[in-house]
Amino acid sequence: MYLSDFIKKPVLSPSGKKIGKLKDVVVSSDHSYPIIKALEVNISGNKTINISWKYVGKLGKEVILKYPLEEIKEYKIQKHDIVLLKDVLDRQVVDIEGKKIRRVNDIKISPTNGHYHVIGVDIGVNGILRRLSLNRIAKPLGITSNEDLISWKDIDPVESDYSKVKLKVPKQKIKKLHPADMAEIVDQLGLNESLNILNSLDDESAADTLEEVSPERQVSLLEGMDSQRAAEILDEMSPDDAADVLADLPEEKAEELLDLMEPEESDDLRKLLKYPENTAGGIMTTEFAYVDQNLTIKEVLDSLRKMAEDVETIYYVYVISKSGDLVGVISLRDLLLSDPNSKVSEFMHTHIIKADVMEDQHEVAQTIAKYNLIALPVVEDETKLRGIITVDDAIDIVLPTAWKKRVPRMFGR
Amino acid sequence: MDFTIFRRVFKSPLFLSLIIFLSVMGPGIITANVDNDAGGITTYSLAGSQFGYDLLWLFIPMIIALAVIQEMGVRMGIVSGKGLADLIREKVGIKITFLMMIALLLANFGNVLAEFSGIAVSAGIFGVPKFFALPVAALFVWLLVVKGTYKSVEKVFLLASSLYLSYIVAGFLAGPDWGLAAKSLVMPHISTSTAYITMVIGLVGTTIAPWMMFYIQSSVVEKGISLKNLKYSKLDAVFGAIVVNIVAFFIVLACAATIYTNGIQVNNVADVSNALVPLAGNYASILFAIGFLNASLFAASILPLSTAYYVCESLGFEAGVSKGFREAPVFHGLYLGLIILAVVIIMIPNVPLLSILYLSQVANGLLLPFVLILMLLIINDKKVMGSYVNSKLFNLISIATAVIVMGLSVSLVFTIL
Repeated sequence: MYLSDFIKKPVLSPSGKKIGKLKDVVVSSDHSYPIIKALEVNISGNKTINISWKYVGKLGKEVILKYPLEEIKEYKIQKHDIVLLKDVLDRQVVDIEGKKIRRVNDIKISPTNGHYHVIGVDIGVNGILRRLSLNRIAKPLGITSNEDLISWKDIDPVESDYSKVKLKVPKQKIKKLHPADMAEIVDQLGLNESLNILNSLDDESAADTLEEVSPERQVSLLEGMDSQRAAEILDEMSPDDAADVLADLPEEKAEELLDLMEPEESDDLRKLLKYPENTAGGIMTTEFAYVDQNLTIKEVLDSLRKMAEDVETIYYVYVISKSGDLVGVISLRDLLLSDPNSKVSEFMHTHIIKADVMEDQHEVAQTIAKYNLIALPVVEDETKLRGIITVDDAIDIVLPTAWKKRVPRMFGR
Repeated sequence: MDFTIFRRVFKSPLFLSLIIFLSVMGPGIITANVDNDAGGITTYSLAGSQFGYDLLWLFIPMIIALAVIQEMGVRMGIVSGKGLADLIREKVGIKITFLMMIALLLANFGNVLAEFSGIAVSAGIFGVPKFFALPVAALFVWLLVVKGTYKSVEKVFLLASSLYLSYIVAGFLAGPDWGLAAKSLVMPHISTSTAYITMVIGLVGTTIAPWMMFYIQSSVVEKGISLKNLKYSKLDAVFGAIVVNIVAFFIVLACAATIYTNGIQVNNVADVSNALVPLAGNYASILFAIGFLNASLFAASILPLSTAYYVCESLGFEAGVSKGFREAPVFHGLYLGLIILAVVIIMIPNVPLLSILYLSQVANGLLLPFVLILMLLIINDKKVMGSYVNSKLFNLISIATAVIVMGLSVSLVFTIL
């Protein structure tokens, strides 16, 4: 059975008198396959009432009620209820399995022990033909295709209602997606739906997602959400990505967000924002592993363990002198293979390949490619270590994220 | 080097606004200029050749209507983050969407035919046979879209937009009577003859085309312009509406000053271009032809693709050039189908090019009121637009436009019958 089979069909009282037309179906989102809770019935003119499922006798080409209208108490729509026609039909949903956005052409409903469950959405040609009442003509003509059904378990309805701020349905399913897939979906949806999705995620997942979203979208999303929340997400983003977004925002907005952020994070960002966007300073991250040159290999490994959570890469550890100059670099492999009790300064490489903060980003990418590095240290005044650029950021320069993802809708998705 | 001066300049609010405007600019201007396509230029040049300065007054109301409608599209796109076809589907359901898409498909196919016939005509002016020009043009259109990236394609399009300036130059070379032109611009000269009404509906239909409303909204959504920059986008939309009408104004003027004044009979753009040689000189004629070729190619690149997108996205079919034929069969079928069918039809010997151009404009005019009504339904819906719903004045102007165009279309249909 499909939703289109009973929408606009007559609703009859037990005596067979027509009392109205079926307008919409209310289901509860509590189950993985939502159960029909009530029917919205259009009685005379513009008046509608919600009739609870317990009063409904038969659902089909006609809807027959068990009791006359006078004995029926109206159902109140609850917070987690979904109104199928209004909220789902013709709208876009996220297909979690296929990692795509689909448009709902029809909704499949199935009866099981006295209850009616929504079991999936039809996204195919059949759904369209059925809605247009063309399926009877199409079949003899041979225009049939396989059923294109997505299970309700695998979709996440996205809401577009401008006036709704709070989410009716908490987004559990969408969290299963990888941030990069989620970002692709956020890029394709309307702004309000995208905001709804981001708002339903915790700060960290929202930050991971936002990092992967196209630059233009990042700006609109941050501008569209509550400033406090935006600042919290920025706190969680890696500083180089956060700095890139802030640089694209209008100055006042960027200042406002920086003030709302944790001081520790915003100080880093303010430093990063000093450098022009296309230079090594502009794309580097300030979260890197560094140790004092007097430590032993064992001590280095210990402090690396503590830092590991917060730094971009642990494969290179930079060695700093007392005066704060970059004196060497040691790889994780060297650390593991060296004698734990000897000084790190004995094993570190002192011929450091590095970039100046003002160096052009393309030269940086070339250096990383040429020397097969995982990360490149960025210095100011020859020796002062300011940050690192990792190989994935270098790839983004040669093959910009913007280009990878935002091959725009008009000219190829 | 001391950068303080630059920094000070960059920080000045005026300069900052300009920078934001330039970054947001594009959709309005490109859309407006695609609007001056083969059908448009033909209509404008015939208007000038047949009615002289008489129809110039129409440009002021057309600027207002086009600016209002483009602004509405831009606002809907930015506030909802969705294309018009999507919004229609979500507002009125599949039946009306389906009918609308069929109508749009037909009208746009008419327009695509017009663009390729424009290519055939302008190639003819340069002495290139259409059997050679059309396949090459189709290949060019396909390559540009499939192999180009959006950034480069947008640049090509903006550059193409600037080629429209050639019409303004041609207008000056034609040496019009400026006094009479200014007077005709503000003093309406109204006639009730069938030819006059037909020409008015042709002009309005080509300037305010239905597909354009879909296109501008999608490109705004595509650019990801944020609500904060709405005012700059509005400016882009209004600016585009003015530019397109200025270009059109000069086309009418050039033809009025030369062809009409000398009482020459013309039936198509090739005639116009040829007629310009003795009257306004070789350059005016060549500029006219180049502009025409550019306009046809420009619109031929955009129309089939955007049509395939709207239809697929609103009906839920996979869409995207980067997707293979197996993955998105309907999309590729529509896209290639529109181009190939158009090329084949135009290649038929003795095909009536002018009637095709003319009919495509009529199809536009007939569809326009319906698209406007749907736009009005959506833009006044608080659930979609929040506090950005239409003002009374905007509603009034767009309703008036819809009613006038519908009235003109109906009267045209009756005169044909």
